[in-house]
Amino acid sequence: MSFVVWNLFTLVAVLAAIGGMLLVRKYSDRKKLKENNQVTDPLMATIGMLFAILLGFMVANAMTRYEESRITIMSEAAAVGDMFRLARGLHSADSRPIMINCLEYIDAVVELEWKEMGQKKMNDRAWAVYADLWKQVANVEPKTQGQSNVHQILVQSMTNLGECRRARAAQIQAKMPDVLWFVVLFGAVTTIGFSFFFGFDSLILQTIMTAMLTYVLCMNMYLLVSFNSPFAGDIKLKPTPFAVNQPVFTKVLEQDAALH
Amino acid sequence: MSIFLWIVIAIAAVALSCAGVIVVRKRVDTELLRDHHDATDPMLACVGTLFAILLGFMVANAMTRFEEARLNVQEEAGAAGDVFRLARNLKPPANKAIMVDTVKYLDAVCEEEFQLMEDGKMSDKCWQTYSDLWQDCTQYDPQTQGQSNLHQGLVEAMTHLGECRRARSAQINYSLPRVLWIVVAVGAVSIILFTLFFGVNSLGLQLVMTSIVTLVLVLNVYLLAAFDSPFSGQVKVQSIPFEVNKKLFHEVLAEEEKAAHK
Repeated sequence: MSFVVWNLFTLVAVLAAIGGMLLVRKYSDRKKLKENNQVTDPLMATIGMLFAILLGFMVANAMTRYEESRITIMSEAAAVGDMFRLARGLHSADSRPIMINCLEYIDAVVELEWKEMGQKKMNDRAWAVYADLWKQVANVEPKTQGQSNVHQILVQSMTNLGECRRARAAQIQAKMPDVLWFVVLFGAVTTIGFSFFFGFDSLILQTIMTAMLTYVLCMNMYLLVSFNSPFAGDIKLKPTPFAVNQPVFTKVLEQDAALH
Repeated sequence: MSIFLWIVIAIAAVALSCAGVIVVRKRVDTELLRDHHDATDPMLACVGTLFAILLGFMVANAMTRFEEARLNVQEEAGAAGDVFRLARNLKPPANKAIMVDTVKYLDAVCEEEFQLMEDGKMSDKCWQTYSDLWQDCTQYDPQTQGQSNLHQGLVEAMTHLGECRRARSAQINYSLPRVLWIVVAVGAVSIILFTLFFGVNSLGLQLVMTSIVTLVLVLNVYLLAAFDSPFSGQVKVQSIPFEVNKKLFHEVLAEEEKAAHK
């Protein structure tokens, strides 16, 4: 979800919180509320702390998953890079098609797949190029001992690429269970709701504090929402590790073509 | 961002928060503020804990990425070292090209690339040397079982070097998204604003306490910013692992030159 849309939600939440606070002020005896402030204080502190710690750890957990996705992307891009370089050491009839397909795979991932991943989909074209690559790598017949050594590592790199690709396909589907969202929402509403039970003499002061508390809570929830989907939203992961390879591979292919 | 700029930011933040204290005390009766301590206290505790945990994890995350970048540089230098040492035992003259290209790569990384990385760029010269190095390694054809074993190790080391290089080129482009900085700023400002709603009898005491809270917050945000970009700023990963290899390998090449002349 974009930051602007979330800020609109936040604005609605702040207005709702102020509305709730005004309702409580209207229908309850402020003097009585003030008398109870000493009890409301530790109770609010307990609920607030509990929720803050819960939300903090949830955000930390989402950040860890986000980091894992980032590392998977880096490993996948590295595996394609290895394959491109290793293929160059094979017999020319085997090497060029693999090198061209490595670049095609990167193009498909960067140009097509990355957009579709926002909708939790993988791209068919990328799967097709990936299948072709497997076929090409598996069909290589090394002619010399040197090529055999290179081929061994090439197969390892292809396996790595497959593992990372499958991990990425799983990561785009991973999300926080709905029941946890319910707990977060309940915690936030309870924390804000508890603040209404303080007896304030100054309406302005209470309005400002309620608004600030609601805003900070919403901003923290925004972090949870953002880190929860590593491939969508404002802080989505970029295909930089793949994109880094694009110009380099194109240049090498052009150089090789010129040599031949 | 330079340390001088951060000092200016810290002074400005402290000055603003102190001004905030004075303005609130002028406009709102201290007695009224003190009456509300029972409410301000848990609300600040809630906002403070939320922000402290969040900022703590963000700093920890940035430090982990910094550590990853440092380890990655070490591993890359190690892989370059492996390539050089393995190549030294291969059949001449093919091994010489690999050794010379490894040293060229180290020179280019130390002298050119680490400076460019401060602006988020990699060196074209390094990419070219790296490409040549790959070519040297994959085109080598071993004649004996021993050479074949070394060649296998060489190709693996080269693969590792490539992985580390690409990881480094991705690391220079990764930074905390702008919206997260906004969230951090909102959290910090909210905490400072909440402290203004406490009514302390002594103005001096309140100013000192507010200043300390502001300073600590700025310091934490500074930590986040410093660790966020591992290859620029005051806290950055150094090219020492490459430089150590560079010095050693230049000496080895010079020795080999001497031996060849004898």
